[in-house]
Amino acid sequence: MENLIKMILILFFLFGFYSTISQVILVREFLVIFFGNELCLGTIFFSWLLWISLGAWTFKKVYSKIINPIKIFIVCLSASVFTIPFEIFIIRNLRILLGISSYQLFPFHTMIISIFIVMCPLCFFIGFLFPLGVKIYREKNENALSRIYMFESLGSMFGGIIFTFVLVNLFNHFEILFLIGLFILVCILILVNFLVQQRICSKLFSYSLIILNLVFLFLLLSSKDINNYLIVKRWSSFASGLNLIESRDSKYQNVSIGVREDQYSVFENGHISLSFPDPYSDAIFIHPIMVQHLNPKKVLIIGIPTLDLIQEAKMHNIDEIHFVELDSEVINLVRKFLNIPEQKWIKIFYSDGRYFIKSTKEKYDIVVVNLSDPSTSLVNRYFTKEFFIEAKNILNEDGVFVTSLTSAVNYLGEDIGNYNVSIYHTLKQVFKFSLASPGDRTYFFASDSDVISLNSDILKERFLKRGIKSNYFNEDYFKTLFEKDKVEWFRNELEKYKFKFTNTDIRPVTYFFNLILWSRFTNSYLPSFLEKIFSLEVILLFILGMFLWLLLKRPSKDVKISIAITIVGLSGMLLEIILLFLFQNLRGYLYSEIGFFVSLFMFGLFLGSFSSEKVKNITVNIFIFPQVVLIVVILITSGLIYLLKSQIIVFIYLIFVFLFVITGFIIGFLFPVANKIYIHSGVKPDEASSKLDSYDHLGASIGAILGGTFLIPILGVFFSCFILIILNIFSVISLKKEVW
Amino acid sequence: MIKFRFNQKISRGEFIKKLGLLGLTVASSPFLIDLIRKVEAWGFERTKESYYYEKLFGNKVRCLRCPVMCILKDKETSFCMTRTNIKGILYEDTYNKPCVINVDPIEKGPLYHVMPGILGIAFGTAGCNLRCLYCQNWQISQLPPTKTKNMYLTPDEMISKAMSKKLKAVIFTYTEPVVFFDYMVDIAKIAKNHRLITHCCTSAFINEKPLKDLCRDIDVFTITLKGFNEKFYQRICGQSLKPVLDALQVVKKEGRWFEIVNLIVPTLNDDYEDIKKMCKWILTYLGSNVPLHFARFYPAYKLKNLPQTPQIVLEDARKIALDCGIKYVYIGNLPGHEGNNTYCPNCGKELIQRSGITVLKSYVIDGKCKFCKTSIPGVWKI
Repeated sequence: MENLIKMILILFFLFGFYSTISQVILVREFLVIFFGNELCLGTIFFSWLLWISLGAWTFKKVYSKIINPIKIFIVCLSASVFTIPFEIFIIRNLRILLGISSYQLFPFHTMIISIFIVMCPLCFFIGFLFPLGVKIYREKNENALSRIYMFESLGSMFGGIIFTFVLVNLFNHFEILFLIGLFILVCILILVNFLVQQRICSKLFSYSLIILNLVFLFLLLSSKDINNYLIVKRWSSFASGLNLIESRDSKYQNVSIGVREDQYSVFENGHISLSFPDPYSDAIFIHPIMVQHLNPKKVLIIGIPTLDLIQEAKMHNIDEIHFVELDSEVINLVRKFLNIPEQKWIKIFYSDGRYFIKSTKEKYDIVVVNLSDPSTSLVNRYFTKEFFIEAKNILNEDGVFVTSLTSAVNYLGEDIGNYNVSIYHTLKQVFKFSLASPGDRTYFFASDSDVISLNSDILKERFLKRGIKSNYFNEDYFKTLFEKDKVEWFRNELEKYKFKFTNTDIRPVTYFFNLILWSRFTNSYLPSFLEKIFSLEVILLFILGMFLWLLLKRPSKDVKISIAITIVGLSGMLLEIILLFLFQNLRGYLYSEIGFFVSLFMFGLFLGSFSSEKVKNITVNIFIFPQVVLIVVILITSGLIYLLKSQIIVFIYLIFVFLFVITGFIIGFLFPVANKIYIHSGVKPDEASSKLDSYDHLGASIGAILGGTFLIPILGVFFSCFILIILNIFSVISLKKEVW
Repeated sequence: MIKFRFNQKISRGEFIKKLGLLGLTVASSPFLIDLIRKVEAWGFERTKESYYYEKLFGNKVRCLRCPVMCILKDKETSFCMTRTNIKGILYEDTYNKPCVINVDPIEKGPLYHVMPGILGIAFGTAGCNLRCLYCQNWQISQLPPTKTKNMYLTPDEMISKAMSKKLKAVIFTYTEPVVFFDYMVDIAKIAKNHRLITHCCTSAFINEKPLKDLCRDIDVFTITLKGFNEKFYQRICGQSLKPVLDALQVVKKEGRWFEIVNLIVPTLNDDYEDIKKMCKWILTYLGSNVPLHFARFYPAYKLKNLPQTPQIVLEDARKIALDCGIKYVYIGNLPGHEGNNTYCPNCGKELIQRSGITVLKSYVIDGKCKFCKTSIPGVWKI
C-alpha cells in the first residue's frame, strides 16, 4: 500500500509537470490562431481555471457513487494525457472548422467560446483528478490534500522551468507532449501492474494500458510528421496564398516566414510583422524620420532590421544604426533570405527593447519604436509615460523620439480618437514638443528641441541639403505625406479631445483602447460594454451590495469559507498578474526572469501547503491571520511603483522575490487550512476537497479574465489593489463574525 | 428537488421557469438592441425626401437607388444605413450632413487626365452600400449618420465654401457618394452655375436610371472596379460585380470622362488571369483611352493580416494592361515609380511627371502631347 501512495504522489508530480507544460503550449498555440491580444490571454486562463473548478465541482456531485476510485483515477489520468494532442489538433484547424477566412480577425465572441470549449477536456480532468487523488491518498494520510497540492505545485514549478530552458529549444510541441505523456503512461502501467498483483485490477486492464502505451509510442515516433502536417494546415488557414517556407517555435513565440511573388512575409504568432524586400515602404518610413533631426549620426530602432531600411537611412550620413529585437530567431529567419551586411556601424542587440533602453550607456540622436500596435500589456510597455522618459534619457539634447499607431486618414471617431490621444497626450507630458502626422498610421515625433516639424517645405529643404538621391523617395513626396490642411486638422482633432488619457505603467489604458479598436474590426461591442461595467463606482457598488447581503442574510460558516477561498483565489491570481506586470515595467521584460518568478510563486505554494501540515488547532483565526498578511502584501504592491522608482536593481529583485514567495505561501497555506475548517465544520472530506478546489479555481478564473484585460488598464494598478483589499477585508470581517 | 446555489433548494418546475425566463431574455436581446438603436436615433433631423423610391402597400417603400433595392417598413433604415422610411416617405439621412470635408488635389481620386494640379473641396458622409473588408474610411463608411459627428452644410453653403477658398472642383468622395446621392446631385447642379468641375469617386454600385441622371450633373468620375471576380466581390466587398460592369458601360454611353481604379489585394484579387480578363473587358466595352490605375494595397480595417501588394505584381499588372492595348495605365501608392507618370502613347515621351499626388511637370498643351501633338484624352480645361 505504501508503494501505491508513493506512486500516486509521483503521478501528481508528473501531472503537475505535464499540465503546466500543456498550459504553456496551449497558450502558444492559441496565440498563433488568434494573433494574440490581452483578451485572448485572459480568456485562456479564465477557461483553464473555470474548467478545473467545474471538474472539482463535478467530483463533489459524483464522489459517493465512485466504488473503485483508483481505477477511475487511472482511466481519467490516461485519458487526460490523450486530450492535449487532440486539443492542439483542433486549435490548428480552428479557422477551417469555424469557416473563418484566413484574412479575417477572429470575432471576439467566437474566440471566447472556442477557447472555452477547446480547454474543456484536459482542465476538466485536472479539476476532477485532484479531489479524486485526495480521496485515494486520505486512506493513508490525513494530510492528503496538502501533500498532493505540494507535489502538484512542485511538478508545475519544474514543468515551467524545464520547458522554457530545455524542452522548447530541443523539441516541437508534439514531441514534448508525447514524450512526457508516454512517461506518465509508463508510470501508470507500473502502478497497474502493482494493482494487478494486489488483485485490485484485472489483467485485461493492464493489457489495455500496454496497448495505450504502444499507441503513444507510435505517436511519439510520428510526432515530427504530425507536427509538420498540422503546421501546414494552420498556415493555410491564416496565410493562404503565401507559400510557407519555414515555421519555428522560438523561446518566445511562433515565427513563420512565407513568400508570394518574391516578397517574403514574417509572421510572429500568426500576426504579420514584416514584408521584404519593400524598398518603397522602407523609404517612406525612414526618410521623414531622418529629416526630423538636423544632423542625425546615431540611430536606434526597436524592431526588425531590413536591408532597404539600413540603406535608405545611410543616405543621411549616419555613423551608426542600432537595432534591438528580442527574438533572435526572427533575425535568423530574416537573414536567411535577406543579406544584412555585417559591418561595424550596424549593430543588432538581442534584448528586450525596454530593458535595453534602461541599461544602455549609449546616447542617440533618433530613437524609433517600430513595433506593432499595443494589443497586449507587453507591447504597451513601449507606449507608456515611463518608457518615454527612459527613451528621453538616452537621447542627445536635440534628439528625436518616434513612435506610431494605427489611425485614420479622414475622420477620427471615438475609438481611433481615444487611442491616438492617449499617446499624443502622454508624449506631451514628457517632451517639450510633440507632433502627430495624419494617415492610416500616425507617426508621433517628439523632442525637447523645436527641430521637429511637419512643414513639408522645411523637410524638403533639409532633404535636399543632404543631397540624397533615392530611387524610392523624393523631396516632393513630403507634400503628399504632410498635407498642410490635413496636418492642421489632425492636430486640432487631437487637441480638442475632451478626455485626455495618460498611458502609464500602472494604468496602461492604451492597450484597452486597442482592444476596443480590435472589437470594431470584428463587429463586437463586448469590450466597450465591459468598459462601462468596470468603472470604479460600479465595482464598489457591487462590493457594498455584498456587505449588505452579509449583514442581512447572515450566511452559514460554510458559505463564508467558500466566499473567502474564492476571494483568496482571485487575489492570488490578480496579485501574480500585477506583480509580473510591475516587474516588467520596472526592470524591463526578461523572459527567463518571468519564468523564475512564476516558479517562485509555485515554490511559495509548496512551502505554504507544507507549513499548513504543521497546524494542529484549526480555528477560523488560522484563516484570518494569513488573509490579513495578504492585505498587507497587496498594500505594499499598490505602492511598489512609487517605492522602487529610484532603488537599485538588487533591492528591487529582493522585494519581488519576497512578494512572489509570500503570495504563493499564503495561498498554499490557506488552501489546506480551509479544507480542515470545512471538515471541522461537518463537511464530508471528499466533498470538502472538491468544493475547495472548485471555489479556489473559480476565484482565480475571475481574476484571470478581469485582471490584465479590464481592471488594470481601466482602473490602474492602484485601484485594482484597492478593490482586492476591500474584498479581503470583507472576507476577514465575515469570518471574524463567525469567531465571535 | 435539485440543489441550487449554496444549498438553496428550488423545485424542478421553478428551475424550468427560471431557465425559460433566461431563454426569453436572451431571445429578446436582438429586439432590445434594435430598440436601443431606435432610441439613439430619435431626434435625428430628416428633412429631405429621397429621389428614386417607390411606395408599396401599407407604408412600405422600395429604394430604387442601388441594386440592393431595399424594401423598408415604417421606421426601417436601408442597408446602406442612410435612407429611412418614415410613414411611407423615404428620407435621405445624409442630406446636409457631411462628416468629412477637406481640400484635396484632383489627383487624389485618382484622376490623372483632368486639369492636373487643381484643388477641390472634397467631402463625404457616413454610410456605404458595400462592405469592403479593407475600407480605408471604415470609421465613417460602416456607420450610419446618426452615429458620426456631422457638420451641417446645405448645398449652397458647400459651394460658397468652395468659392471662398477659390477652389476649382467639388469632389464627392471618401465614402460611397451613392449614399448621399440627393445631396451630391443638388450640389452638382449649383456647382455647374459656378463653373466648378464636379468629380465623383464611386464604386458604381448603382442602378441605371439614377446613374444616367447623375451623369447629367457630374463632369468626371473615378470608378473603382474592385476586382474581376464575382466571388471576390461577394466575399470581400459584400456585393456583386455585374451591376458595376453595367454602370461602367452606362457612364461610357453617357459620354462622361472616367478613370478606373483597381486596388490589388494580395492573395484575394491578384490573379493575373483575372487581371487579363478585366483588361480585355475594358478594352472591348470601354475602349483603350480609359485610364486604368492599379493601386497598391496596404493592410487596413479587417484585412490587417495581409502583406502589402508586392511591387512586382503591380508592375506585372501594368504590363498586362499595356500589352492588352490600354494606353494609359498607372501604378498608385508607389511614389516616384515610373508608373505614376503619363506617357504619350505615340512618341512614348513622359508627359506628366508626378510624385504621389503632386504634379511635378506637365507637357500636355491644349490636350495634346507637346512633342508629337498627339491628342491625349481627358478634360484639360473647363
